[in-house]
Amino acid sequence: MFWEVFRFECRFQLRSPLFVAVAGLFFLLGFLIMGTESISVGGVGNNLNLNANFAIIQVQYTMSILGMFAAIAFVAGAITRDLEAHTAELLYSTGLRENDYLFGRFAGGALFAILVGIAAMLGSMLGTFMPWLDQERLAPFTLAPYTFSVWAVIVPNLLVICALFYTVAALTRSMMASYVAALGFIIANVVIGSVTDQEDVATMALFEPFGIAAFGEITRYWTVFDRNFGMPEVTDTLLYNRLIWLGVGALALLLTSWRYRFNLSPSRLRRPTSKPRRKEVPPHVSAIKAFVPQGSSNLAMLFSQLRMDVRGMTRSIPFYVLLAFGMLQVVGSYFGATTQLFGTPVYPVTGLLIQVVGGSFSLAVIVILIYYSGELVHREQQAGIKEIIDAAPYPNVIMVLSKIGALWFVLSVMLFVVLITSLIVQVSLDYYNFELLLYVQGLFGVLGSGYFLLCIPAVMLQTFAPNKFFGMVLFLVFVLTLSTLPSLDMEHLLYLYSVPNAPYSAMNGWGHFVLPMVSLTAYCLALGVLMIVAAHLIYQRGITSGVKDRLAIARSRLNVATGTVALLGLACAAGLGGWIFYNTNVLNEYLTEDDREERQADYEKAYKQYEKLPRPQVVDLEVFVDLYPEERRLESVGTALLVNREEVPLHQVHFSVPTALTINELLLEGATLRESDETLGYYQYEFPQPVEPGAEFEMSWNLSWLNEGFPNSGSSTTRVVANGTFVSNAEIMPIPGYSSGVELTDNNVRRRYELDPVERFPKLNDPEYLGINQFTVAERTRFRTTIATSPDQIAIAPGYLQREWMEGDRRYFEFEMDEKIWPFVSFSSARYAVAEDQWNDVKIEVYYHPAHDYNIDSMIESTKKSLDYFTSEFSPYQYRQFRILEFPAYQRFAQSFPNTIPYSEAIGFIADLREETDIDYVFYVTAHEMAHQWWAHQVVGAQMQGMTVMVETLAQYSALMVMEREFGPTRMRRFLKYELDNYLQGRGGEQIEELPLYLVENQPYVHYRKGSMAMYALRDAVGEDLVNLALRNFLDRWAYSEGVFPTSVDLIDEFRAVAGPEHQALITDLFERIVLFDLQVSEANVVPTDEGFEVSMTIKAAKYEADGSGAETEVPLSQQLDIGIFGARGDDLGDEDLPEPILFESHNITSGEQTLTFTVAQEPERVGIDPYVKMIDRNPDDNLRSL
Amino acid sequence: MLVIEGLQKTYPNGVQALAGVDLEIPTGMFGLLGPNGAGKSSLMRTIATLQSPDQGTILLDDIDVLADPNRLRQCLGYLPQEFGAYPRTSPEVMLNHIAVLKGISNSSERKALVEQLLTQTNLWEVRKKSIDTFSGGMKQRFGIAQALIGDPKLIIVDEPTAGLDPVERRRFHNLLTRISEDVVVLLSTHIVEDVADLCPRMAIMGEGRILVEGEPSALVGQLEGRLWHKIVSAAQAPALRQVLPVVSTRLIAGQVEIRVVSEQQPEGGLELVAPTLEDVYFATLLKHGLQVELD
Repeated sequence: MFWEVFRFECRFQLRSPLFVAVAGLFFLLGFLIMGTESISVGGVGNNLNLNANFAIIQVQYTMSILGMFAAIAFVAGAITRDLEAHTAELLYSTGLRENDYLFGRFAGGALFAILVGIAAMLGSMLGTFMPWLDQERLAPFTLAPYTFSVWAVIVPNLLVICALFYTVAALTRSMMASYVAALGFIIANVVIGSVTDQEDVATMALFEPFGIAAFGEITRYWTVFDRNFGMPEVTDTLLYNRLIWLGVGALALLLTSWRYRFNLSPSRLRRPTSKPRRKEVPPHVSAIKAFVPQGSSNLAMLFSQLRMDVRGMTRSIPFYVLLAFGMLQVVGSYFGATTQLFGTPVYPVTGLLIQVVGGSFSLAVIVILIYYSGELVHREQQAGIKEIIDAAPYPNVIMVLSKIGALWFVLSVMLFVVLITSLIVQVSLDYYNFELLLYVQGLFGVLGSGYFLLCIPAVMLQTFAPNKFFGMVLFLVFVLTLSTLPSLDMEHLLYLYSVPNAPYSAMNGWGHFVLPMVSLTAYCLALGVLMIVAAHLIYQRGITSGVKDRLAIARSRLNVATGTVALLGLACAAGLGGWIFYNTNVLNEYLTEDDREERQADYEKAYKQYEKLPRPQVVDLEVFVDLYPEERRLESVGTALLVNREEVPLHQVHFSVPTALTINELLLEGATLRESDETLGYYQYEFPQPVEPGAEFEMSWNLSWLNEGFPNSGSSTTRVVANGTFVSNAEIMPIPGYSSGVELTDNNVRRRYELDPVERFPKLNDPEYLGINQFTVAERTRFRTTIATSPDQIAIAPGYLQREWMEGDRRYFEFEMDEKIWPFVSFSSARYAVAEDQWNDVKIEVYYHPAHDYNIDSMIESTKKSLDYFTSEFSPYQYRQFRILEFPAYQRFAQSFPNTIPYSEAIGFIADLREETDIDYVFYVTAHEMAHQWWAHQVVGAQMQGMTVMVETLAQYSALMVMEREFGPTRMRRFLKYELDNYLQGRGGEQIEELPLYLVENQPYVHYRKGSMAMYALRDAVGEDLVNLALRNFLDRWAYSEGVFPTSVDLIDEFRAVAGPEHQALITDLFERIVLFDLQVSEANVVPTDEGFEVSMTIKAAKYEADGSGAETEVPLSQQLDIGIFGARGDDLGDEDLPEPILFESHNITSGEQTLTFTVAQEPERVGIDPYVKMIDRNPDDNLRSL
Repeated sequence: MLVIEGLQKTYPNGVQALAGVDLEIPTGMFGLLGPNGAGKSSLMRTIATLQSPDQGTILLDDIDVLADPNRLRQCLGYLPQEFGAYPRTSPEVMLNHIAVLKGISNSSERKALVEQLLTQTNLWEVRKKSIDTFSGGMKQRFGIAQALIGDPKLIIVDEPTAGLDPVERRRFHNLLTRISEDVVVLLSTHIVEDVADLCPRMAIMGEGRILVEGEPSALVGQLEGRLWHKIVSAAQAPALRQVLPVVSTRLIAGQVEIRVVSEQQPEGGLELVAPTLEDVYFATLLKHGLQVELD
């Protein structure tokens, strides 16, 4: 019997168009994902092969999630089909046994679901063979990742999904319930995933149903090499995960078998009416009155239909389920996004919440639109009431409008729920500044507008479609097409039917982003009107037979009314479209991403030849900045005194000018303009009389930065805004020479434009670059500036304020530096509140947005503590002031200019530091930026490999020292764990080649993260006093040098000089090699004895050296490492913190296994090898073991 | 007066549902009989503006139905053969909504109307219960209630009493008769007795055409004196069927009664019998070559 049912099910599925269509769709999907380069999988990276094992497997995981819905269609359909086709009565009354039926149907459905998964895999396999792919990025074909995918991904995932949702369908007898359960399942997954911290990753990996977390955990620290060729092992987490979930699936099936019965009583349980029924007296009807309908009552019709449609939605359980999951999603995404740096949260400010929920929301909205548009438009048909309704004299457009209205209602309810949930989140986190208007603007306006607009084509397409599934497919195709157009270099807003996003900043509000948003919304609405007219014409009334019939009817429906509306819509669309075009293509330039890349390539191709052209040095800089914040206009006028420091005469000088600027005048004393390239911003001047060595000449400029209207995409500037302008000199004045920062960095993109792979940094000790520093200059300059801004704003630039005055309706500030600085300055202006303090003779000021006063004290405190430490350990602070300036959240960084630190609104200013045990990263960032006043502005490295060590790594070290003094070494462990994790993950994202510290080429994960670890380890081994002595020596020798600059080797030599011979090998390991450890306490026992407790621990240790792409070779280990034994932890420490050790010793650890025994007086709880994670260990969690 | 001329409709799969239908239907009940596939439902739907014909015209007094369907809809009541309702919706709410769609925008008027209809169709006690829970008869009552909204001048009722118990059926007949005084009521049915009892005029439809039209009594009268019958054994029946123009056969207590239409007495000992409308029906089908084996 089972086989009969199974065979039948298989035959049915084979013949069903659903299977063929879905299998085809997934085959195509797999093919497209792997066969087109524009969809990048497996992590960004030049080095990652297109058919990297990692990428292949990840694609299968993703598709098995997508395939979930198809799988449900098969299995849930298998069990509900008999009910819907009314064959249930026939089947149940044969001698068929329930279990045979249940498992036969299940087996058939599941088999075909798995076949779909395999079809997807075959599609992706085929995709990797396509000849148009970049052959250099394809490795030879191996079957391994595919067989792995089948047995570890496709089969288990689909089996489990099928089992779970088959159960739901069988017990509820409803396909709908399965889909809702599935949606809930996915959303619950997402929520749990985002709430999980880094620390719980391992647990989550065990229980996450799709196995993706387990896969992610295995591959967390995989380098590019690993991702290309490595295969995950099916052991431990992954194996248990699969077994657990297969077990769950089996249990579900058993449950079904136990509870399922062949019967047809209605599934809705109805409570019998126990109330006695009174005989109701109907109202007295004297005579049968005739009611004659009045004519036009269209509005009443619309409202009644809308009421009915909304009723229909609010009375369905899936609606409430979706709402509930929407709420959970908001909560989940909030926690995911706002545990910002090092696990420390930020205040849940409204501006942040509304931007955070957006991303996680869109999937749910699309699903709702797809599903409910179908349900609504075909509702009358499904209820069997269409014939009756269609015989009533309503205009077609009423139905169309009502369905759109019902969808808008659903969306509004969801957004409202998001609002309420966000309020709850805020209150639960003790934050009460709700800003309700901002919520409405952000949720219903910015976030919602695109969704509201999508409802119109959703309904229109459903109206075209003969049934709801067809309509859903049409809409899905519509959405997919729109979202893939940009990758085909078609990015213009006019045909994307979307509204550009408006980022929010508390300082600048919605700013100038409102105009494009409103314009596009109005334009799309006008298009929407046309769509509604089309829907009205093609609307299916009664029964129609075929496309020709419908077209004929549509033609007959064209009349004056519809024509007028259509023409009006067209006129509005044309008008608005023209206005938009004027903004995007006339006032601004329309550039697609490809266009931008092409320009970058052109710039390099044309002008890189001049890179080594001798450049003059700037020795005096005077800038006048006229800022008009409301107009977003900046006028830059100035003069620079240039000097020829070369040994040969100067024949030409070239300038790069940012293309956003309009050049009113650019004069070079004694030179004529030979060639100007306005498109790429490169200008070549030549001297009829060459400039002699040592001679000076003046450059003067008059530039305008106009930001008019709005551009098509992205590049609407966020630097010059109504409140919170922040620009650097490179953005507003001509810079001598070729600017290598413009070059394309992605090697794959470069190859497309026939450029060679990106040139590496100048090699360490390249003599040509010893005289040029990180700022690409050799000499310091005098600096003075006057900034004019609005009367209610304060302007700031590096320098001491000389004068402040009003003239007319403009406010002026004059700043001057009394000593020379690098030509690296910033100009800021905003409506600031100011906090002031003093440290000795240094005036400390924080310029901040008045509402963001949470952490000013921490910033000032950190400044003082940093000044304390740095001036006593390194050298005197060279300025008499130190200012921190807040700038809008459009960018998230802080930057160190001479005595001036612009600091993003989004980091630090809104950090929530109320919880004492959290890491105070405001303190850390402030200390780091302060440190740059030494490491960058006093001493800076030559422009070559290893250059950033002297700036970033030393700043990290300095900040660490200040923090440790303030917060203690235990919190340092937590901090360092984050640094380690970031470093290890960063290695996987390496685009070219990892390099050891002394050769680092501006790779953040190396010079920040590894740098922290290395310096901390160095300090630990050698001692803080000696390290600081080395740094003092370094400063003595190199600070304020001009014309020749230190290299990383110079710094390391200082370390070597102070460290004893016993530390030289360590220094080599830390700075000159890529070394990783694998330290583990594999076993630990404690035995109470008379003297106390005897602790024995077995340590497995290994040391590896890695090459640039991550391939590792083991090297012999023989090194002094920490051993620690710890007792019980007090309550005042966080989970990850360690109490004071009972025993803490240094032992020589060698490769392989070794057992150590200790005797301690106190009862021990945990033992550890390198417990404070000073060594770079691939898995720091197994350094400690509980007894 | 409903005037139908030359209505033709062929579906894309080649089936010709309407092959030239001409009818003139005055006010009062008009019965439409015919076998499955005759085109009754297609005709009903076409008149109810739910389907467009390939050719032909339909006029209700001065309303050109095909050119201006909304004008007809304003005075049309349609009770389809099969219908449902929005889930979890009561007749009160549903009738109210349909009333709005039919153009009754005044809410107090509407309320009174809905009350009246619910009372008329005996649904007052269950006016707030969901239509999903109704029995077949109650659903039909709701169906007729909505068809009566808006004081229609044309009411089209498609197979309304299939599945109703005798009480319901009688109730339904009474209701229809009462309203048909100055309204065109087009009743399409399989049940010959309904037409005989209720309809002053009728037509028989087959293969997309009107086969015969007139008053039931007149049509029965035409068979008067031409209908013969005989009761024979089951074994003898096939032989007789070969030689005689048999209109219908019926099994009675193990024996077979055959009925034959003939001007003169046919061979074999048949006797005259009083014709019924059912005989008219079978005879018409036979005459137009649409007779089907009855056993």
